[in-house]
Amino acid sequence: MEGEKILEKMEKTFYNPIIEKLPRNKLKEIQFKKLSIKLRQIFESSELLHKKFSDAKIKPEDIKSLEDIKKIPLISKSDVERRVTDGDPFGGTLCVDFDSSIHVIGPKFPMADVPMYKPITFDDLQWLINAFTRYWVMIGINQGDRVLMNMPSTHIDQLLSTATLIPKVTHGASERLKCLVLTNEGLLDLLIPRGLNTANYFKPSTIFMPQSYIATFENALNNLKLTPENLQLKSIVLVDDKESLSLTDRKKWSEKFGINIYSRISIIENLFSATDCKEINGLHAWEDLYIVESVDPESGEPVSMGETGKLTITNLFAEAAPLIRFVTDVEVSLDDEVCECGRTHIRIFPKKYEEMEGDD
Amino acid sequence: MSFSSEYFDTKIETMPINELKELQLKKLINITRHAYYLSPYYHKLMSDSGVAPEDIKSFDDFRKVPVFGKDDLRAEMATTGDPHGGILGCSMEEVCNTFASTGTTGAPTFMAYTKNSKEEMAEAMVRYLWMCKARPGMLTIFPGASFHWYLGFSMNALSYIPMRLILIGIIHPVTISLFYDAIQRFKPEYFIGGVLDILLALEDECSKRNVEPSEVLSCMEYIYSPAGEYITPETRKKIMKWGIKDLFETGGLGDGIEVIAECSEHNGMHCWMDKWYIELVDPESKEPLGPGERGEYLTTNLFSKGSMYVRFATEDFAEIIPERCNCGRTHNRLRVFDRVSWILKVSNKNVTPTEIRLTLEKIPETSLGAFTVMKYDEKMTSLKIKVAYNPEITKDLKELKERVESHLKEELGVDPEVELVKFEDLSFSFHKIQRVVDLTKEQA
Repeated sequence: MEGEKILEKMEKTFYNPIIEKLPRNKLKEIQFKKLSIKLRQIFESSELLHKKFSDAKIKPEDIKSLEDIKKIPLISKSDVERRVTDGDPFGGTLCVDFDSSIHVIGPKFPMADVPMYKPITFDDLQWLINAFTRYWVMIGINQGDRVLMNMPSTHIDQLLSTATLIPKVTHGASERLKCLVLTNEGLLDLLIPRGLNTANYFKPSTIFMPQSYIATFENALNNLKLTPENLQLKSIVLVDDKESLSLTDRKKWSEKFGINIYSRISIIENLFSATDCKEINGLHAWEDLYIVESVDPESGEPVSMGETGKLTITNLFAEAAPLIRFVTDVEVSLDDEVCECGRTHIRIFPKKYEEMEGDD
Repeated sequence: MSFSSEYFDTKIETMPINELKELQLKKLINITRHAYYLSPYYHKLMSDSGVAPEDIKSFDDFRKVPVFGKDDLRAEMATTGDPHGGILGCSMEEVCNTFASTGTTGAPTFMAYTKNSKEEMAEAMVRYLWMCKARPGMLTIFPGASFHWYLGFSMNALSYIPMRLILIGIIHPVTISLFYDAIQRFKPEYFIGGVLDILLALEDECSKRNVEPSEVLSCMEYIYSPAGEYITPETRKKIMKWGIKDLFETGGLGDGIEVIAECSEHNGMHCWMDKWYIELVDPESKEPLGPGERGEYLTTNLFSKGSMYVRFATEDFAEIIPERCNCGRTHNRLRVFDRVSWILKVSNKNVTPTEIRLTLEKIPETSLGAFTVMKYDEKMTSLKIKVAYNPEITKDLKELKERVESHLKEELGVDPEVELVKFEDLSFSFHKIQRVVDLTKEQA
């Protein structure tokens, strides 16, 4: 009975409780402070940002409140791509010396026409690991749990889960939570059976995998005559960079496997991610680290709360290449009501998230 | 330690051999004791043979410890359902990372690291990388495969030096376009993951784009090949022509958590003696060999208290090079030939395809090292072998046959019967040359 009580308590924990439950007005104060500092930090060093500001005839000082953010022109992927084609591998976004110790995360596979390379510093990684650990606790990964990471090896999530990249001075999410992380190469879905073999021995409670692999995962389970019950699996996190599963699909897989299906949007271009909480009612994004908007890409104006627009993210913590008002082609609506889980941070609803089959 | 120094840790790398062996023995006794008391599998194995750790006081005594191999490990995994097969020397809570082996010879096995063994392994890797000319600040291409015990750990070591990493693709030609783009865009100085497949695919990629390899690839100073297929002297010469300063090959084992690497002498691979203890035994009887003989090598991991390996039979056929290396490092060097299962028995001698190839590569007319052995019996009296020769530079076939036979006899100590053939007339399986054609199977 004692053990159950402890587990129940752990299920309701927060990794950074003060920040995760901070009243919205205080969150916005933090956002504005960080935005002002960031703009001043990178105005001279980020070629792309400097150009955007000059073209709009504004300076960092002109942003006097959080609402003034709409004065800042949007940065799109094609703005960066144009400069990459011209010869700058980071498209004018690098804000530190290339000779300082930065690592570069390579492009996705298969390679796009203009590949995007993302530079990160040690401190960027620290912030990201913190954010990632908050997500793990949010979806109920506890001490002593085992987690199978089945993402491509160069995906940011693989790098954040365990301290393989920078040891001794920093801990990955698994070390902070005292979990065991098992990794499998997730670049190609035909490698899933290998991951399942490992899972069969170690019984992970959670598996992270790219969203498009869910059908292959089911086939592999059937071929190996395994069930999520054999594997003692409690949840799967499906990661994508554009869209989440529809409500119908999510329910279908959840019922078929008898587990929770959590969605996760991961946008490497601005070191951004947002994940479901246990309520599965919108993907939380940490607002002390990002400013999240849903905008009309033509006007650059944010749409009203609850209306659909393009997801636009401002990174408030990165040193190497933070982007301000980076507009993506992910269609979302936002909800800033406090969530049932207790967290006050904004929730993102990708277009398909609440779609039921038969909806017009 | 200064950045220009040859050794990362001068004291340990050039330690006089007697001191080194004393250190090794101390660690050996320690690890055996730890395995006996804390690992269920080793406890059973040793007590069943009546060996107590207190009995072990010298290298000779250590031979009393029974040998075990990968199949024993797999059997243990299957019967107990324990992924580590009972060789874990710590509790599960102390394990921070687990990697799976590649599983080329059967079901994959798992290697567990504790915090301490991670740091010890990183230290060994840093010394190897430094030996292979990796220096602070070098821009490096590094492939993914964080699931793999070797690469998942190299990232650790690389950040110690520290090097600037560009994380790209996986070690498989399918992602070659990613590698090509990164090299051409960033002009890195170091390339980790330069296994034979990738290097040939890079060359292919250059020719597809009508570009000379040296134009794009000459920015790279050093290439590091993590445990891949052997790179022949011909291929090595071709790669050096791209403008590379040096190419380092390495080897290693998942089971054993062991890495070995060559220095700039390119004459055998060093294995740090304060990290691993290597012994050579007869592949069948597991008895120790005489000096200078080749045999199966056993490895004992002196630092890993997660997955422990004590007298683990690696199934690799090798020799230890006794002379001191010209690079100044006193740690022993290994030359690994083939897997034990590919050994041919000729007049009571063990001969492997790799040894044959190395001999043939030294003769100019047969420098491709292409041959097929006709295995007509399990125990043969002479080595029947078809060898490909280069017709452009061969003047007298009869003289060449005699020369090849006398080289083979001298190097391998067996009686060869050589048939010189054109390259196309060897036995092929798809595009790969069949090194051994097993006639015994075909007759059955």
